[in-house]
Amino acid sequence: MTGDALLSVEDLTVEFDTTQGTIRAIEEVTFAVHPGETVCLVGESGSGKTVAGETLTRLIPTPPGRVVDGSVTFDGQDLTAASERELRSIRGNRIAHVFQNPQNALDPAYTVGDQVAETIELHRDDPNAHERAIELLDRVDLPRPATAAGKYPHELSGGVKQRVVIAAALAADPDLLIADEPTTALDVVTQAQILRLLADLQAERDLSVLFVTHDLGVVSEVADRVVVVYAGRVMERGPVEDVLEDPAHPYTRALIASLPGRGESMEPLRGSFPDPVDRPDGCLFHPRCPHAVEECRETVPPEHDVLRSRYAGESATPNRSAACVYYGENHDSAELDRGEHDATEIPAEREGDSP
Amino acid sequence: MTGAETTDEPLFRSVDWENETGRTWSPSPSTWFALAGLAAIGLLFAYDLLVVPPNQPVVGGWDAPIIDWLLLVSLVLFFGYALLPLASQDRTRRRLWAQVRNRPAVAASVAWLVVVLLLGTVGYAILGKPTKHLTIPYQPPAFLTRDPFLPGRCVGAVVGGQCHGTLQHPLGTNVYGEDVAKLIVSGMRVAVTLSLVTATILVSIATLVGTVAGFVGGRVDAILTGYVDFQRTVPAFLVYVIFAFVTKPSLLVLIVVFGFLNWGGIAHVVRSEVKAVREAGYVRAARSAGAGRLHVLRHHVLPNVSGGIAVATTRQIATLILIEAAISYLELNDVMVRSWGEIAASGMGQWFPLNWWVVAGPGLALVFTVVAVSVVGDAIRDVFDPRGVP
Repeated sequence: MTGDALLSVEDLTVEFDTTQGTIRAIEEVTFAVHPGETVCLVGESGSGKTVAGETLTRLIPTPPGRVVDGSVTFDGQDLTAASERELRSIRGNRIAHVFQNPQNALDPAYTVGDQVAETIELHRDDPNAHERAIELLDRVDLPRPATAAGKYPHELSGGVKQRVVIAAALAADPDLLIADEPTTALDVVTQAQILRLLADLQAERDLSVLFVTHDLGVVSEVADRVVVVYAGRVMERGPVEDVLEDPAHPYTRALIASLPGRGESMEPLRGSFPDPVDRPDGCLFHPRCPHAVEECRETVPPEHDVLRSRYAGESATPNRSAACVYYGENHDSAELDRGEHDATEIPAEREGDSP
Repeated sequence: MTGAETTDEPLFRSVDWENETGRTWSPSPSTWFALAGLAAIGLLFAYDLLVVPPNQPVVGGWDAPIIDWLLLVSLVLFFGYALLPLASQDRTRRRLWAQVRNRPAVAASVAWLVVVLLLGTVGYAILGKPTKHLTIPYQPPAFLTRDPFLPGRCVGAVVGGQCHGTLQHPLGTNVYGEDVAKLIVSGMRVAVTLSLVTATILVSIATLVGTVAGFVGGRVDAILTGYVDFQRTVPAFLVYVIFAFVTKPSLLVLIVVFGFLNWGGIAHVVRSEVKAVREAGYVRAARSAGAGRLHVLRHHVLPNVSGGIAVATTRQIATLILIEAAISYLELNDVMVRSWGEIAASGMGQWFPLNWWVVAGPGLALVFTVVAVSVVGDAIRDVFDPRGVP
């Protein structure tokens, strides 16, 4: 399935220079997005998922950010080697972004019609850009689109603004949409409408979507495949049903167990998110992992295939893996299903959260 | 482009972007206006320089000194880049109108400034310089009387030994028998020149330096900000006084000194606003849509900091008009330039306060103007506030 990927990210490592030292925002992140598919990057705040999304078209500020290693291949072209000019012709045109907060994603100085038209005009001379902008506003279900096009952002609600942002993102007909928490700032009802709209647009246009979110509820609705990220490293990946219904990695399990409203009592994750400047050795999750053993402290576990699937029983499932020693050759992953290991002592809570 | 554009094409169609050429420079209406205006001034200037003999008037009776050329350039830039955008953008026009309608102080201030601008440019050209009538000094304003001690014959009726003012000189006359109303109009000319030419210099330099510092950041920012901080320790007033002694006092020197030394405060405002806007979500969104740095700067950063520039500039202008009056009072000015400060100062001699109208007229004009500039500056701030009422 790697041959026909629209986007493939390999071993991507991004660092930021800060006054406290160098922060490794993402480390050796690998994933691929195929045409028409939705891949979810899932992780807590500060896990590096946003950086991963923005590094693809090099939107991260450089300096302080820089790509240390790895490659981003989009439709056969290596974007890490592309010039700024080449990237400009790709941004918006072939890879579009929708960001988290629609409140400030629209310029207060322009009408929303102008802003949708801007994306079109950035990529071609189109005298009818304004009419097309109104068509697009109609397509994202704005009532009375011609009137709405003349409104300023502060005259619109958050949900309507996010529709405008989506219209602007899709205006130049991109192949890949990077949606970074597009529904997080919205209420649940609006959230459902926006997700529905995105799904419709995706089906209509055979659009590939890289969906960045912390919300597992959203993941279950939109994703085809899931990549779970913790502190900048991929912990687990696989088809959405497998990962959510039968999580392999202890982190994914803890994440799901911390959700409210699943019948059982919710269990918050123990300990705190690692200090980005002083990251733990070995498996990044080991200080918080109830199953951690000596080996976890010493070596970074590679991604092991997870040879089980909810649907295929014990047979090997392609593209399902977890970066956990228990899935290695010398361990039995069934041990993860039996309570906690005594070998771990939980370190005291550390001050300072992730950026 | 591939394919002809027809209406029944799908909404999202594929376009051969490879064959798209880069977009060409498309000037805004403001730039068109400014270019046309500057070209016209350039032609007139060339005509004056090459065809018209020296010390001969260019048009009518007007032999333009350098400061008038600067005023013309400033007027073109002021109309093109301040009034035209304010009037042509739906949002700003609507909000400005709302301000004028709902706030009497704003309406009065705008009205006064329009009067000053019109009388100071067009009106002055029609009315001409006030003429001296040495036989009729110290005529009182219309409907008022003057103290019998004041010298000079009385133009109006003398009733009960008291000289009454006439409508011929509605605001009275000064020691030379010059009409105070005409003097005030000539002071408007000075105020308009002083304000617009200085503002043009201030805004140009401050916007350039502030934008570059804020947008580029890093070492460039550090160097520019360091220089601005250093320059702000040089008092423009003192530099003007030194120039006034070394050369001779003139309005041009005042404008140049204050224009080139006082932009630091505005540059600081521009820089900090550019830094804030640069991090705004809509700038990130524009970049993610494929906008280059120059596009982001022209279309997203500058429009969103222009309100801050306008406000900071109006503050400077109000202060500068007062400083000019102070300089006139200290007699460090060019006495041939009849500014409000100069007229008022010349009235504060031997007969003061019996000849109070010579001081009160230009003094009130000065106060009205300074207050009006500040009130309009505040209104502009509200007009540009993104969260303000539509």
